[in-house]
Amino acid sequence: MNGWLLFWKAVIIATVLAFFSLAAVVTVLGVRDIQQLLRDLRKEDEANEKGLRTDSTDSTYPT
Amino acid sequence: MEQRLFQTNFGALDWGIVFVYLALTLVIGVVANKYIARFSDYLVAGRHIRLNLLIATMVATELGLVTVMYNAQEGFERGVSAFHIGVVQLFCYLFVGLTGFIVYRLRAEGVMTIPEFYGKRFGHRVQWWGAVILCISGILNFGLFAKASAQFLAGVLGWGPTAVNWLMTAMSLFVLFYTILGGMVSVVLTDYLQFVCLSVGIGIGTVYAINSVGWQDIFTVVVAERGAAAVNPLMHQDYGLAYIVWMVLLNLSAACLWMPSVVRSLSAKSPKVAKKVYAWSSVGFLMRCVLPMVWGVCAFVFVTKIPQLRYAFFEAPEGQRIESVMAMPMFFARVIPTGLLGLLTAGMVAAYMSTQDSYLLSWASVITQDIIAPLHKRPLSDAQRILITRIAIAAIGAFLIFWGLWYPLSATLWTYMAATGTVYLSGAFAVMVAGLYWKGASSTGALLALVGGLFALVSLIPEKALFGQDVPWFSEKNVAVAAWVLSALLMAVGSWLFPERRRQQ
Repeated sequence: MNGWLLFWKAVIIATVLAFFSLAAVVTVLGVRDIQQLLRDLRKEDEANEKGLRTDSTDSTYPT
Repeated sequence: MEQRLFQTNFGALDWGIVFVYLALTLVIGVVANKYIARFSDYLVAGRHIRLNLLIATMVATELGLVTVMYNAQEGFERGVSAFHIGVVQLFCYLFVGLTGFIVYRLRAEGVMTIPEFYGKRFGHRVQWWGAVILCISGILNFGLFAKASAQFLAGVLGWGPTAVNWLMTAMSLFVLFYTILGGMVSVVLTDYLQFVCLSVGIGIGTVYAINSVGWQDIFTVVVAERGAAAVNPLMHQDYGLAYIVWMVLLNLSAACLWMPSVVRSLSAKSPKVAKKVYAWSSVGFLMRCVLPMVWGVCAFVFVTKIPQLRYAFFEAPEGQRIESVMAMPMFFARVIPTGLLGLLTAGMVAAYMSTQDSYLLSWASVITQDIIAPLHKRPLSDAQRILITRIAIAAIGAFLIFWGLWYPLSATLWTYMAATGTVYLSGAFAVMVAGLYWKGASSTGALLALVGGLFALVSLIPEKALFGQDVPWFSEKNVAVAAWVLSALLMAVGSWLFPERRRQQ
C-alpha cells in the first residue's frame, strides 16, 4: 500500500506542476494565435468578395 | 433538508466577478458573428486555428464543469484509487499524439465529421446510420451536463438542491444564445478566455482544498475510513482489471472518435498540428481528472470531520441523504473566502460554457451534415446549412433542459457518462480502425459493428430489472468490454462474409 501512496502523491505533484506550466505557456502564446486567426479570416473574406477564393471544403459532402 | 447545511462565503463581490465574466463572453459571441461568412467558418473556423489556441480550446472543451463534478464525485466516493482513470487518459491521448493513430489519417481525409468519413469509405447507408447512433449516444451522454453544472452552482451559492432546476434552465439558455450566434469562431475565442479563467479557478480550488484538510490527511483519513482499496484500484470492488481495460478502450476511442474532441483535430491547420494537439493536451486530460478528484477526496476528509455533514452524507436514512455530487461545491463554499470564491465560480461557469457550446455545435453539425443533408436531393447551400445547424442547436438545447429536469439518475455520474459513451464508441472504434487500416473492411461489416455497440445500452438497465436479483458478473464494466469485443468481431466477420461487390469484381 505504501507503494501506491507514494505513486499517487507523485502523480498529484506532477499534475499540478505540469498543468500550471501548460496553462502559462498556452495563455501567453494563444493571444498570438487569435490575432493570426482573425487576420486569416479577414483575408479570406476580402478574397471572397473579390471572387478569388476557391474553397472545396464545403462541397465535399456527397448528396 | 436543513438549509443551514448549505453555508457559503459567496457574496456581492463574487456576483460582480461572475457577471463581468458573463458580459465579456457575450460581447465576444457578438463580435465573432462578423467573421462568419461560410459554413466551414461556422463549423471549423475555416481550418485556420493554430497549435496554442487549439490546445486551449481542447482543454477548455474537455474540462467542463460536468467533468469536474463527476471526477470530484469519483474521488469522494472511491478515494485516491480513482486517480488511475486520469493516468489512463494521459497515456491514451499521448499515444494518439505520438503515433497519430486514426486522427492523422482522418485530418488528411479533409472531412468535417466522423460519419462523413463513413460515407466516403463505406457509402451513404453506413454514414446515415452511423450518424443516428452517434447522435443517440452523444446527446444522451450530454443530457446531464447542465444538471451537474447547476448542482455545482447550487452548492457554491448555498441555495441547496431546490434551486438546481432553475439554475440549469437559465444556464442552458445563455449558452444556446451565443452558440447559435457565433458558431465555431465564437466557440474558439470564448474557449480561450475560458481556458485562462478556469486555469485560475483550478489554481484557487486546488490550493484551498489541500490547505484546508492538510496534505497528509488526504491519504491517512481516506485509508482509515475506506481501507486499502481506497488507494489500490485493483483491490477496489467497483474497479479492478476489467474496469481498467474498459477505461483504456473508452479513452483511446474517445480521443480519436468523440466528436467534440475530434472537431479540434479536424479544425487543425494540418495533420501534423492535429497530432501535436493531442500530445500536448494529454497533460490537460490527466489534470482534468486528477485535480477534481483531489478536490473530491479533500471534500470527503472535510465532511467526515464535521458531524453534521457526516450525518447528512452518510448516516441519514436512505432518501434523505445529500447526493455525493454536491459534496465538493459545498466544501468549497465553506473554505474559500469571498472574492476568490467568485473567481473560482467564474472559472467553473467558464468550464461549463466552453463544454456546452462545443458539444452543442458538434452534435448539431452531425445532424446537419450527416442526417439531414443526405435526405436532400440537391446539395444544401452554406446559408441553409448554417440555418439547419442553428435549428438543431436549439432543438438539442430544449431536449437537454427536458432531460435534465425529468431523468432520475440511479448510477454515479461517471458510470452514466462512460456507459452512454460506450454505445457509440465501441462500434465506431471498430469501424474507424478497419476503415482506415484494413482494405478488406466492407459496409456490411461496418453496419453490423455499429449496431453491435448498441449492446452497451444493456448496462444502463438495472440488474434486478433483467434478472430479478443482483448478478455480480453483469456489471457495467463487463458489459462494456463485451460490447467492444462484439463490435470488433462483427466488423471482421461481416466484412469476411459480405465483402464489397466492387472489390469482388
